Amino acid sequence: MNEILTNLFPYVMKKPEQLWKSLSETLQMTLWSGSIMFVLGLALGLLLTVTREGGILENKGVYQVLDKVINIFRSIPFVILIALLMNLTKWIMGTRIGVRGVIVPLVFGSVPFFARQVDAALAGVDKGLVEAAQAMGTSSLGIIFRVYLREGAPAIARGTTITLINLVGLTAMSGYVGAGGLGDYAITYGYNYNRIDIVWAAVIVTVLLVSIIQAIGSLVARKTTH
Amino acid sequence: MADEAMISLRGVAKNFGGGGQEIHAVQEVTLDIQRGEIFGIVGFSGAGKSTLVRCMNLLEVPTKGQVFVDGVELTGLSKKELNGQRKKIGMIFQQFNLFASRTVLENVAFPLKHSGLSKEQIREKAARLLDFVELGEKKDAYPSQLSGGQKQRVAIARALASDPKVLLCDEATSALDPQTTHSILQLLKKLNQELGITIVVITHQMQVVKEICQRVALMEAGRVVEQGWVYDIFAQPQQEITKDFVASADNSNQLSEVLAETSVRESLGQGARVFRFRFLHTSGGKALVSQISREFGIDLNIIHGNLEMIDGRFLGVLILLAQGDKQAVDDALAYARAQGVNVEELRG
Repeated sequence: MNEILTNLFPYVMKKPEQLWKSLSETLQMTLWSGSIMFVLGLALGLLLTVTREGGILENKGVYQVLDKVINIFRSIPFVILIALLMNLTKWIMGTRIGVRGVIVPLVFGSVPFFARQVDAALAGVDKGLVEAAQAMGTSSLGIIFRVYLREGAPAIARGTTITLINLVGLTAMSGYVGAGGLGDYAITYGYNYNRIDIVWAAVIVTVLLVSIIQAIGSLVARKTTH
Repeated sequence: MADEAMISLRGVAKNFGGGGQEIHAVQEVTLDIQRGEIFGIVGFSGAGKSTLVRCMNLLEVPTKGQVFVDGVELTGLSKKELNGQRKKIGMIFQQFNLFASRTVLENVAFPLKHSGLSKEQIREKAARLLDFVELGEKKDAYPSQLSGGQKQRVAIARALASDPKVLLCDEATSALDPQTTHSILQLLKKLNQELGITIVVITHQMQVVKEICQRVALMEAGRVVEQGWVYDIFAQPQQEITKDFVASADNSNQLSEVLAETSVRESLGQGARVFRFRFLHTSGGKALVSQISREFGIDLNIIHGNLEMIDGRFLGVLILLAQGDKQAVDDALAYARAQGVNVEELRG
């Protein structure tokens, strides 16, 4: 087994710890920024839904501002976002390099996308259910937690899956600020030294990672659908 | 004040949109619905009846006017107070609006959260309500596994969970087949009689009104154009729209179409006139048709007949074809009217 691997991936097998370190960095970046993204994006997506015209807490001002800000951040390419946010990153995290230095741009890069996913998911919750809950005297907070989040759970799970997979894609660019990760591994050790087996190793591990995320997401969506 | 109305609308109006394209969905409706009655609101789609019923629990906030339910002015409450009052007003819908992610039991238990009952008490109460609507064995099923009629039963149990005094039904049977409609209506009747709940039924089906309502209001273009006891409305409809609805319920609405057929007209013969006789419970039991035929020397041919019970009283409808001297026919009709029969000439 080891022999086959050494033949197929000579340079990977020479220093396998480099691959594991890169995977660990990618996982750290994805999990940290993914967790923050989930909470913030869910909150903002809910805010979009409830403040929209006809929503349960209709508020034109809040909706318009949020809608515009999300559009602006969604239109900035991630590499430029890293540069744009350097001072904010330094202020929040104390550094703008390494895994810590890339969390803030990753959050800013994924939250607007996820907020839209959540908004779309909640739009799929039948308005009649909200009306029925209102008729039963349910408070706005009750409607958010007991109707929107609960009934929208399968669609939110699917939106989360797509956003996390996008996030894995974004982490591949974090080599620019020395955060490592699988993308950096493929470029620094593979591309720059013309070692194609290293690139393939990065591809295979990334595909496995994405497949696992997709499988978990689909499972959650299926379990919450009745 | 025991004689105070359960629901009282005072000059209620609701407009949608703004600028030049304002839609007046409900205009100046003043209406009292008494305690313990089943009240129907009928109209074609777009007449404003769904908007009106939504004004009764403030799902739609009226642009103008006041809404009182059980003596409390809803239009003057804070959001929190309103949520408290809404627990006394159950509502069911055409599309049932059950929570797909919750079991039948959890759906019924939904309004009981924060009600002060323990988890065990909530389960017990929800199970009891499911027994009341005869769905006890389905408590662990999900709504997607139920038929339309079963879904509406669950929705009714859910609406009853917070012990409401009023139940608003927005086209609650419109998505159901006639047989299921009948069983749901019987259930509504049962909870009106056994629990004393005041029921408001919004429908476009006159059959529904005939089956369970005591009083009815007819709406057209956002206004209530006619209201009264269901029997009186069926016996002596005044407005054109009311006549349309009443005719739709006793099948005589197709009659004018049939009469318009040239072949039908020819076979009926020249000079034949068609009348609708409505025999009220006060009309008496005389053999009126044969009597006037004999006494006025005219030929009467019965082409359609219908007899039914509305709100516990008889109402008979006959469609008659009259042939004979014009004056004799007119005299016969005048005589029939004098006997308390509601006579109306139908034209093809």
